[in-house]
Amino acid sequence: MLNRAQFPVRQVGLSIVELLVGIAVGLFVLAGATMVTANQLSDNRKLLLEAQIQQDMRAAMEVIVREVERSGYWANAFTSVSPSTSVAANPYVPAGVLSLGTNDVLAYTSSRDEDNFQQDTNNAEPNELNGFSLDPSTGAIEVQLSSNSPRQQLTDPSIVKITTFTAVVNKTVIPLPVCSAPPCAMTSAAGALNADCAGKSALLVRNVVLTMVGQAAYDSTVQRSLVSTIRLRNDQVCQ
Amino acid sequence: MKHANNPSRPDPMPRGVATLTVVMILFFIMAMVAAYTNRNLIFEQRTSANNYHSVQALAATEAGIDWAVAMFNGGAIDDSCVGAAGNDDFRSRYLGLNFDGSFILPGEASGQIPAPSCVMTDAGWSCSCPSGPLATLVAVSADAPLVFRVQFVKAAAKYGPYSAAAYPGVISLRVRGCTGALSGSGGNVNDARACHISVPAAQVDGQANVRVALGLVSALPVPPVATLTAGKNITLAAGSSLYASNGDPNTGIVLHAGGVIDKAAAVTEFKGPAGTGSSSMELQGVSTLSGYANDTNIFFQSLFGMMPEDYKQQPATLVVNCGGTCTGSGQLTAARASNPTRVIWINGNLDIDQASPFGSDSQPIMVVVTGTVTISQAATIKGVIFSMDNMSWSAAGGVVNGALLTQKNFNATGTGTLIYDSEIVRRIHQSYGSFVRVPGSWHITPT
Repeated sequence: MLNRAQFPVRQVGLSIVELLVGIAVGLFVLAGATMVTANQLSDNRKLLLEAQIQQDMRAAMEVIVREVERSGYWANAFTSVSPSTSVAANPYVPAGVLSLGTNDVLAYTSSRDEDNFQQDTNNAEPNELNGFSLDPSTGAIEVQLSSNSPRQQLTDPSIVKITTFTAVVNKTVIPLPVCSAPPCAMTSAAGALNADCAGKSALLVRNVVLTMVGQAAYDSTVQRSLVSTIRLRNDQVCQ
Repeated sequence: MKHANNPSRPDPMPRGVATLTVVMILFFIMAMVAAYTNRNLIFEQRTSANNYHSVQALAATEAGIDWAVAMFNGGAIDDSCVGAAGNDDFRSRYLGLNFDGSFILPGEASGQIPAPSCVMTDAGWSCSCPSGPLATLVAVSADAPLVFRVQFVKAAAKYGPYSAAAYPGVISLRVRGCTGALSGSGGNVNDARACHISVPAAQVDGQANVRVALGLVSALPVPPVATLTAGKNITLAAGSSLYASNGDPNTGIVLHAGGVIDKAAAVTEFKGPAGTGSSSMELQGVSTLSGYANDTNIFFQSLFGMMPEDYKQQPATLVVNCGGTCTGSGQLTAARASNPTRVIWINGNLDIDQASPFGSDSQPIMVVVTGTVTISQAATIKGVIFSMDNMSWSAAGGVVNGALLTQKNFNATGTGTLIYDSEIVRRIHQSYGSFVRVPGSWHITPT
């Protein structure tokens, strides 16, 4: 027979006390973990919403910036430069703010004929009258791609509700060299000295400061704002 | 010793390896969970990076346009687009001139139009102004270097740079700006990441393509109609001799004066277009000239279409201050060597004191002098010289091909030959002056 004192019996299983203590400690840990997880999920949801509205607003801002900075583009602009013919006027107007009814519209015209100058009719056609505005009832920024067509939503009001959309147009007037009285056109006996000084008198340089503030459609505490300053590349020639 | 009392039990394995492994796995899982929960943040950062590259590329494009405009209005350069006296300037290098005032693009016939390019280095833009089609840019080690390429396009080009008719006084630029592009030299010919190579669309991090037209504000918007124009009197003193001609049927005037033409004591020979007589070649007492002769601003405006201060400040004008009298052998020669096609504005007087050529058929001189002009040596002048004061000719010999204009009096005591060169006048009229952006022409293109 072996002596039990020489080979102690190993404990098998858990006592009820050990089990209760383990469960209690486990529950405490679980409670803490649950709180952390809940906070994490909440933050994550908020971050997701922020990312969504940020993405939506950024995409909208990008579209507006790219459109507005090219406003006033005229496919036949090169025809305004000619030493022998009269100076033509640009039929397209860079972006400005129009007050139409209750809503301001960032309106502009630009040629849609890109490099195809032969198709440009030198008139701002309906599909070349564009603008951006905020519809306060839906909280969406809308784009008008033609004077004949209804406005379309540029932002998704089910994700982001735009609360503020403002455009401030800053203009700098740069006088152009002009002829003053007495007239600078000099005629000679040969009739060949004839300075064509008529026409241009100033260049209007513009920049537009766009401010866009939006909030998540399902949580008004989640807000983001974007500010973008656009230098309009096509200056307006004032005649 | 822990096991000294039980030597029969073997030494256990080193403890902690399993624990370390488990902990590391748990940390890895936690890191993955953290990354997963922050995926939106990563997404945002990537979006921001894309936006950043896009904006950078557009900024590079804008820099390219401004750079090209400045280069067109600048002086002589070498292949690195750096100022180098004695060379051609950017304008002469890349633009030829048609008779109608439109521009010819070198290499147009072969479709190999040179495309000057620049890459951003630590020291700023490093550029290449190639004579052939390929720019040679320095290699930079930056992760996403900025590069822009400038292509020249006919103004009325439709969907392509080489196909359309040109338009007088206008040249279009197609500028591509890239981030994350390869630089290096021509070894990257077929590399799609080389922004400055003419691949259809460079495969780079960010890319923007802009087209804009540049128009020429002529340095001589109203070409003179006479070989010699004076707001007041033209006096050819005794002992002087003057041969003057104007064979251009569109103008035909040799002497054009607001006051009196006094040539009785001189030896003269004037020639105009076939069939013309002295009554149409020599016009004196022209009221429009005499009426403006006492007002520099108006006289100047009638010729140059703008006020003198505006003309002086335009980018293509080089202002030379000599503190008195500039000399042809000194300041004018030096200014001309570095600025072959720019307008040279001399504050003060000018003395042509060297019997050497000034200007050429392809690059005539255009000089505006606020003081008097004296031609004291038998120089060969090709171009147009305008003086806001008196002009005198004392040289024993010398030829002017082009036109001379003075707001006040012209006095000759020497011997000279004046030839109205309509080609030289036309060249100055059509290709000298400042290039500026044409309002309304800026737009983004797909390629």
